[in-house]
Amino acid sequence: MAVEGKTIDALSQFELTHVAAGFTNSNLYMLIGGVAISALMVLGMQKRARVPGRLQSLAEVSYEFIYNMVDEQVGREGRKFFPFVFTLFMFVLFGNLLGMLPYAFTFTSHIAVTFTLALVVFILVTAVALAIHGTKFFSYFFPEGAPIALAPIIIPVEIISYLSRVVSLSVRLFANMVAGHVMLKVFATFVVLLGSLGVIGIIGAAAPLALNVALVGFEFLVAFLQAYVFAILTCIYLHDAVHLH
Amino acid sequence: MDDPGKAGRDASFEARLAAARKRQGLDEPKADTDRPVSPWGVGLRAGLEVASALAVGVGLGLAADWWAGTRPLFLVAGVFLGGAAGIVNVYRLMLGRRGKKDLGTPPAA
Repeated sequence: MAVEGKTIDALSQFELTHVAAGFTNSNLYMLIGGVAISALMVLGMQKRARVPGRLQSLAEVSYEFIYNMVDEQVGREGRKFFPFVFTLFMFVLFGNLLGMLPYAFTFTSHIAVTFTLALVVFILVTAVALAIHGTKFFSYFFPEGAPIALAPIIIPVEIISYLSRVVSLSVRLFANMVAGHVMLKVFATFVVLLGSLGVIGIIGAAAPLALNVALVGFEFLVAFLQAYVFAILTCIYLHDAVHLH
Repeated sequence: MDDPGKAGRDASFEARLAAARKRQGLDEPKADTDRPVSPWGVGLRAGLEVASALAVGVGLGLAADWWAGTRPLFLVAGVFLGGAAGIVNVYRLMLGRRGKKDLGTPPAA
């Protein structure tokens, strides 16, 4: 929940140079997210207890969750992509969850961030497909057995459909995070405005406040769900790249 | 997780565990995981697929026009092709993973 005046802006004290892009609060929370993920994995697994404690359980559960997802969706040959999918999932998940803290900045609510992530996935998937299948990859754009006469229509449509993955992958995460946080802010504004109206206003403000409490819970669900969706779609695209069709 | 070389004592444990898991409904076969379940989810997902394909089509059309100086020729083509790609996306989404192979045949069931 970015608080008023906490839209994306450079933290001047951390600015490296005035020419290059400054170090923004978005970057700061990416860094915090990265440190938190590393801390969870390193500190959580430090004991290597046979019966895991809470932190170790959390680390193990998230690891196994993504490991099984990659195994199920991509198959055995997809296991080498596990580190990539796991990093992506944890980064998005921590971005979403950090954004739930008061005064924090949700970097996944910016299309520049989600689009970059989606572009990384897209380039990797295309590179993997080209590396495994070579020029056979281009048969992806023309289904076998289709009449040659339809090629001028089918090929552009398939290419656009393939390219639209980047857009839908990035917009899904971005739109979900923005929509939830905008709703939270709108109802929070209702609470403040109604609350300033005296006794009747305070009674009236209870309704948007109650709704906001429910929305916060819903936002936690969305935070996990969208990280999961981002990861599983990455897996499905990787499956397509490895198996081609 | 399955270890084939287990002792009989463990086998009985595995059998009881499997029975308990079945009772609790933990081993239910999972549906296609990439498809949304709620009606809202389906609608939003389908809408997003159409919109993003259309956006890519329009973007490519505008770019081609800018490059060739033929505005609005490629834009018009891009809108139609993008719309068609959007329909293809939704069709694939509804077919699920098995249907991705061929676009020509409708789902069996």
